[in-house]
Amino acid sequence: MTALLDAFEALVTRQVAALAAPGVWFTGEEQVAIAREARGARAGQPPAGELPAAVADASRRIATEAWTIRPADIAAWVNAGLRAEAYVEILSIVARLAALDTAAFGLGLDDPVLPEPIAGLPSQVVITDAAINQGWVPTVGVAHPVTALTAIPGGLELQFDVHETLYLSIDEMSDPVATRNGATRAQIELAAARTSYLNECFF
Amino acid sequence: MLRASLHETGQELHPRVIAEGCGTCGVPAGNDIRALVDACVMRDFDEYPDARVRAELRLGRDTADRIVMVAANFEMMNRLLDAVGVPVSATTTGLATEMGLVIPDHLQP
Repeated sequence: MTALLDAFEALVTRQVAALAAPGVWFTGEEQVAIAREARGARAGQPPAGELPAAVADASRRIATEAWTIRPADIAAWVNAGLRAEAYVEILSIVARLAALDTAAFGLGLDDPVLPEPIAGLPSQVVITDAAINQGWVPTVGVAHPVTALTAIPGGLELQFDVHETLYLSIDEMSDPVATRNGATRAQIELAAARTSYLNECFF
Repeated sequence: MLRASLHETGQELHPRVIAEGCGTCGVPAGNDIRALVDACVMRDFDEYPDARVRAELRLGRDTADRIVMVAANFEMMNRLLDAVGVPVSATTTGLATEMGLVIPDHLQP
């Protein structure tokens, strides 16, 4: 076991624990079902029928073709009863799971095991500062990579736990000669740019 | 940042190569990195073993692991930005043009 693999395993432990516990708009059981639905979509399986249609559809689209999502899709899910903040929570779950699963694959590991849910009710805490600001969902401040999940309490912390473990810290991001584990900044950014290209993302 | 980091070491970026998937983009071991990222992001069980071995031989185990982890992070970030509708920045627009890509209307700043 290398220090890098240790760091990844520790990240998985933290992220899986967050998935099991009640969230903001979903129970632990629902969060695990969202993760299962995302993986099923990636594997080409039909909807499992465990979730309301809008929740399942959003989970599957984010997992397999996020670049095709448009404001009309989000409006349709909201019209079907899904809060915009709950959509953001689905996004948080599915996007972080995609990172963990891709890393596990590339490191020669199995997909992280989904946890047994912890009983309890969602907090339903609303971030009153969040509003539509140049994006399609509420954010605290302008829609931006670091505000994407700010409509849900704890969203940014979970995102940056992944970001800093797998990529770079905020301080390192502004350093054009930062290196990690022998990878130069140029090699790191090539991996980032190629991934974005494959995902048809212009970030 | 890709261009800036190469500039620091006196190298030149060829952005179109990143999209086209062949040729030399200017980044040392760029072809091995690209092959490993492709195999991981596409979960290509056929291509992964060879891509992994090549990257590990060229870069070492820890560096290959880091490349995998960076790609994984952008699996998250790409989804966040696309699903939230974060507008593309003006600097990204220029790079996209150099790569031969067209920014869709719904992401224009």
